Amino acid sequence: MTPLIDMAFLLIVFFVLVSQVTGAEFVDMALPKPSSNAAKRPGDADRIVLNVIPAKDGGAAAYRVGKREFAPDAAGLQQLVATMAQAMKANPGIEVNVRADRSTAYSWVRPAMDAVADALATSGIDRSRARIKLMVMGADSHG
Amino acid sequence: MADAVPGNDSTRHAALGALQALASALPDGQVGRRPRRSSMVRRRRREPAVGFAIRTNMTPMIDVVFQLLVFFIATTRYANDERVIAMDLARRTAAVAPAGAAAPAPPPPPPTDPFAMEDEALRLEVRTDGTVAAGTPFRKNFTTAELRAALTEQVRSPMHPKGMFESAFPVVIAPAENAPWESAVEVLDAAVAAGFRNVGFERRPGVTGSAP
Repeated sequence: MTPLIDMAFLLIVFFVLVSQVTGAEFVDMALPKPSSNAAKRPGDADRIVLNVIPAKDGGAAAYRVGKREFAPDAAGLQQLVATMAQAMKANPGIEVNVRADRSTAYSWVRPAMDAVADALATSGIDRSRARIKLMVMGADSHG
Repeated sequence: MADAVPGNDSTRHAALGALQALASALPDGQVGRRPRRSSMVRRRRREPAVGFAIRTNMTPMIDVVFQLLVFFIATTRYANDERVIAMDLARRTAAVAPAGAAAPAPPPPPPTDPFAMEDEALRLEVRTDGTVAAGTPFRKNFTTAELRAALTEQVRSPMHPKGMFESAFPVVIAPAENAPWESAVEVLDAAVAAGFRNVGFERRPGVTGSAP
């Protein structure tokens, strides 16, 4: 009996921790699904996951990095830039994954990408290396 | 004492007979009773310890543990279907003109001459309905499917040796403000799938900090 309970508790701890991470980084939304397979599988490099949390009318309710949310106004974007610049200074090889809902208007996604560019500029990382990675669904997925 | 001297057969037989007589004289159950009694005592001592103190009822705890396990397995989201498209940050902010100014542009250079258009990015304007207005040298509107075919044909590769673009030719995607993110990504994906390596969204200088 004891090994069974040991295993069950270990599995519970594992899934609790995993769901903590994924719940913060993978906000539930319908990612765009392009019709070809140009997109690649994500690597295991260090990353910042920048979520554009969708609102109902094609807008954005907030921008979110980890568990921190930033209002989609000028002050919030300044904070977002500062937060990402800090992470980039600490880890120059870090990459930024942008997740946005497929129905969100481009005018709400653009500030997020501009914020990434500004954060790169303030942290002094070589722009030629800097890449944003856009998260999409695979063309053969069921999402 | 002389009786016990080994080798004396008659005395040995006498001693054996005396022992057997002694054993048969004992009451029948007496030999086995001692161990039985001691084992009963041991069992009586152990039983309460095992039966009531240590063996608690584990079933409800295991039920709850398995419920939790199933809950966390079922609610954990995996991003197995997610893919990434790497995108260059647009470096060409100065070269990008607004949409209105692009219309009365001078006639395009001969499209087969890559040197003449070296400094000018291919500009793809994504409209709200998902169609794409392609800039010089296409200068026409496409659906995304047509755009895919046209771009694939025009990127120079072993498959398309007559394509007019090098794969390093810069592509700037300029979605309309209200264009859904899905169509913007579709066009980006079309350009990347066609073989362009230098694809990015238009970046207008000085707009950071101004969400709509």
